[in-house]
Amino acid sequence: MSAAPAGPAGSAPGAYGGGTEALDERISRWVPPILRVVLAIVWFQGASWKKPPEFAGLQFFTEFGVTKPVLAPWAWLLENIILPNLSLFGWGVLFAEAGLAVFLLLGLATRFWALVGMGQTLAIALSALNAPHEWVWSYLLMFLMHLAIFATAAGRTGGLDGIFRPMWLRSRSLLGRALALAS
Amino acid sequence: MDARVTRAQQVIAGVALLVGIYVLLRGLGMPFAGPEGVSLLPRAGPVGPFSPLAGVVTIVLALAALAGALASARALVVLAGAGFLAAAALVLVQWFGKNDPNWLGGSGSTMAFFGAAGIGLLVLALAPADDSPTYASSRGS
Repeated sequence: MSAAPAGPAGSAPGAYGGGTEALDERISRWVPPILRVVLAIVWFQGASWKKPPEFAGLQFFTEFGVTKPVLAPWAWLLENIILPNLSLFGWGVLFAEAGLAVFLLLGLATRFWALVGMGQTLAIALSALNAPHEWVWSYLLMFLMHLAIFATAAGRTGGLDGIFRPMWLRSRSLLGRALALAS
Repeated sequence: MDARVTRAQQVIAGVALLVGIYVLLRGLGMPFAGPEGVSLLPRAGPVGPFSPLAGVVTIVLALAALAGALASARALVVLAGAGFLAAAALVLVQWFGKNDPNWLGGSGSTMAFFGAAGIGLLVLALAPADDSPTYASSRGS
């Protein structure tokens, strides 16, 4: 069986294949940064309603993790550690989600922030999955989108990682190495 | 200044400029200095809000960053980036308080928007110059 790319009848296979390959390359190059920016917008939205110092909206949804538990150990953690200290943990959530919005939008240390996004998605899912009107696939899709931008290192196209990574790769400093790993 | 760094500064400043103009046009008739404001992408979950004053601040800082990028004036880009970070800090302080006053009309996402513009511009302007031969032609490895 021939593995040569099929072209339209009468056309040179190379010309057709070259065009589609260029298009394929362009799509595979630019779809990950589009996913990255869309995820950043999701986190912008998340940061918009975690209002300090009460974090009332966050408390409302976090309590579902106790009243409608998804995982018993997580429910215990929420009830005994996180909810009694929400004024402290709320700040962590606000800055984590604002940080996700900032760094995913910029494409800076993208792989690190993709991991943070996966962790935060997991925490939200374990808290709110059994709340009324929640859709399990929304959290799974959100997790997988972060996994996709992690796997494709989506900050290297159209992001600051792409500009600075060559310098970080040559760097001997701890920060440079860390940023190379995070990008 | 490396061409890719300059282009990235122009993109950040350009996006911020568009946001500022949009806010100013949509915010006509709203109280100038908050606490209400214009939200970007309201159906996708709001990014913002931004008061008309926030629109003016964004336009001024974006123009400063754009001028700095075009003239290779690093200090101007740094100044604009620091201005955006100061705006983010102001939003946080006033939003954390009783939301009155909230001059820039902001929430956590407004803070994140200003933070993104500020951090992006500062990282680009303050990063050490890389004059290695592979740098200009590298496309992410």
